[in-house]
Amino acid sequence: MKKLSLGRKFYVGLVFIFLYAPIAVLIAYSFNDSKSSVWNGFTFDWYIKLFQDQAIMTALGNTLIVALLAAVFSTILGTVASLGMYNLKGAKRKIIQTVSNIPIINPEIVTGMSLMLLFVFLGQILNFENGFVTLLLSHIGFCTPYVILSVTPKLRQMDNHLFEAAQDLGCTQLQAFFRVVIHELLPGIVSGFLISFTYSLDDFIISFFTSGKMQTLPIEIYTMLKKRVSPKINALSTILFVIIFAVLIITNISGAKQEKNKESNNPGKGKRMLCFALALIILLGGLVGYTRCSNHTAVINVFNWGENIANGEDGTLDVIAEFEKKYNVKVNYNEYESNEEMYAKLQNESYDVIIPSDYMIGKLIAEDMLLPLDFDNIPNYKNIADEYKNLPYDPNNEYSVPYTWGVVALCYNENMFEGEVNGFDALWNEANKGEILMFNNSRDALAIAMQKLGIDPSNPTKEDIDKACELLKEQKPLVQNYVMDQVYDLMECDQSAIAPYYAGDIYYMMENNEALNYCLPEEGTNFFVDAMCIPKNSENPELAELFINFMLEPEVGVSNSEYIGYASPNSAAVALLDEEIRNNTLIYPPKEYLDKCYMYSNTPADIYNYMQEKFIEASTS
Amino acid sequence: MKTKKLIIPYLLWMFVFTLVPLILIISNTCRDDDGKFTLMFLEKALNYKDEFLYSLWVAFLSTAICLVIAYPLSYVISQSSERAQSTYTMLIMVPMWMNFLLRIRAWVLLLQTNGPLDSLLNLFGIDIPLMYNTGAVVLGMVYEFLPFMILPLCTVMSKIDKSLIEAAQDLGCNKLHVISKVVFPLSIPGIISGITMVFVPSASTFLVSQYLGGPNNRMIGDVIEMLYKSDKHTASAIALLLMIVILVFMVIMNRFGDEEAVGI
Repeated sequence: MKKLSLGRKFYVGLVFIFLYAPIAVLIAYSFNDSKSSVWNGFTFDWYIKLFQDQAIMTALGNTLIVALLAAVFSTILGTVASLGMYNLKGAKRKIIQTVSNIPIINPEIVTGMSLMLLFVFLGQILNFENGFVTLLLSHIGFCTPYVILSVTPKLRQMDNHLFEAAQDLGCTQLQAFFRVVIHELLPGIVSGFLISFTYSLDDFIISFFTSGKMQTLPIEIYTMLKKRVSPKINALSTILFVIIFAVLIITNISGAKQEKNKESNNPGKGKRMLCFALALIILLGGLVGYTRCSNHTAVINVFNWGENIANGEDGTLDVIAEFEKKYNVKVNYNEYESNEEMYAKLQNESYDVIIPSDYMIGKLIAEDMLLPLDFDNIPNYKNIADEYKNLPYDPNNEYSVPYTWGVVALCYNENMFEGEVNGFDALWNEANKGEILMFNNSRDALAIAMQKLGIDPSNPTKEDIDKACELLKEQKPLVQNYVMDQVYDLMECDQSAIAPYYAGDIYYMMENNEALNYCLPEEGTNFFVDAMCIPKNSENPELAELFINFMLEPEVGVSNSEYIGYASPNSAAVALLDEEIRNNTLIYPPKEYLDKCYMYSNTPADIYNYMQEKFIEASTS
Repeated sequence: MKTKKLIIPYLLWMFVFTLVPLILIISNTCRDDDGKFTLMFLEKALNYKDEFLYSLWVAFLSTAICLVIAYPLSYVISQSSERAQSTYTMLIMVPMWMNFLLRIRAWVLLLQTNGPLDSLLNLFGIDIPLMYNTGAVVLGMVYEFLPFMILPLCTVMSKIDKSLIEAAQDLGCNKLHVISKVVFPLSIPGIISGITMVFVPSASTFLVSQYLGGPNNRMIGDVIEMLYKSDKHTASAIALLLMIVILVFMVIMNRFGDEEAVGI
């Protein structure tokens, strides 16, 4: 081996620092004794909690299995296709190449959307539901072109005569193929395999559309976005990282030994990478095996917001596990990141319990997608305080049982904000130019602008939206960024002066940064409720009602409320809450204040589309 | 070597999983909810031409920077021993196995005001905004997709016959000439693979600019992400336009690549 010169070493080192710096940060935060990005001391807790978290472990298993199978199949398909393409000439090859590259070119959202349409269409004919097979097929679909891209250059470089020479020397065609062609292509094939594996492992968007009720790790992480990505995920990444590195070192050492023994100096880079890939498959396979175990009879499908149920952390109940134990029912727990995503999935999948927000419930009722509840089966409904019954989205309370509620409030940094914060006016404060955050969500952002204009945001018209957008355009030069979950890091690390967000989340931000304070806007604000419902396509409504009833148990309610941080409508649960939280005016604003607040109602589709378009326009140009 | 028939399974595959979905997108673009033909959605999609151009600009910058960083690195790697090569390759792949979102968030922590990089630069008296600008978005893209430039380049360069380089040296080429006359022409297939694999995803990806960019850095992928939940038709129309632009780009690249390949 030629020694690298100093300049080269320096250069290679720089690139690797660039590649690994964020990984170091990621690993460091897996030891942080806090959910936030503020350093709060060293802990191993997240590693312990990780292995107790069924949802993450199952998702990990699914992800690894799919990634391995997808990589294997797409490597075979792609290599075979490259060989087929090799002898094609001119236009034919160009056309095939171009079509083959379409999955790479296409924005993933579109590939995902179109594949979902395809699978729904095929599913109706062949009678299957989206799940493991569709997920795998779609992953093979987007991995194969990468295999072709990495095998084809090798093929072009290969000396054509090698194959003939091998035959002349007495090989059969098949022997010549495997001994010569495959041997020559091996580096390309293996790197195609690894690229496929990598892509599949980290794919979120396409999986989201085609996975049905299979939860994979990236989906799990994405659904945490509205709240905060748990450091458990950092811990998991660290473990994977250590495994990969261990394998890398082992294969390298054994490779070095072989080299010495054989005294041949060209054992083939492809082969060593192949060893690496195989060793990795075996190890990860073991990890998958660890995650597989369950033998319940009945199954119930629950579809909830990410990070929206107590999971045993910080002294809370592990609600799902408790329910499974008590009733011997397996809960198939899935998560989403926004109401609209939940709605899209509900079109094609059946779920037993969903937990949408107020306006979405209104929409689902209007579209006849919910089952009326049998309240005889939900005796714990008596725990719900009267204020949260018969709300406008479900006026006769036939379809929903409230789960959490809260308000939109302002969070500001006392050291940074110039002047007084009383209401949403503060978001237009010139003195804090470049330090103001705004919702990256049309409904909430426009509502704030409308309130400032004195328009009732609960049911806006197109003119209202136009006016609100004008105001947002005026605000834009002052805005640091339009954010959702990024708000946590920005506020907690003193990057921004003020932001509107949801009350329960502001409470957590304040715990991580003493300079933060909150304000309930004097003009009133949005009051929101998330409630449990049973969709029409539920396969098991009785079990769903049993689950809803269980969620209303006081102990369960208190755990959920503590974990999620949002207010609970369950008065029996509230009575058990810490006095400090129960009397906190941010999480539980007084009745007089709530009277000033409004709820969103079911916006017609065309108005909502208009809102989205106008918001994008106002927040971009 | 007769291998033409081997293409058949892939042709079938592409028909079902690429062409049929493509037709579904086109049908989504050109028909409204009632199934009537309309060009309204394409017209709406054109409203987002600024984001379009910006995305292509970012993709162009990212690809160029990736190429500049990756080319010398790949050359250095391809010059090292087989064993070192496979180790380097793996070291380049490993970061990509960590979740994409977590890595981008890690960059936010690195780049933020009073964060490690900002403090370091302040020590030297440099006070420039590191976040919420095109630079940060491009940095995110380069970070995300650099391995896709390095890997094909390494694959191709490691295959270059060392005796060719020696021959060139014997014939009186200096280092620079060896690279420009021998290594570069032979590495063109890798360059093309690399450019495709970096340019395309950086033009269409989302979330990177949401985290690292500011209000003026919205990219077309983010727009599609915001729209698809409520308005599939316009989202499809934007996607279709994006696809056409990138297809044109690819065809040009392919042609360029072929001509060069003939030249060898």
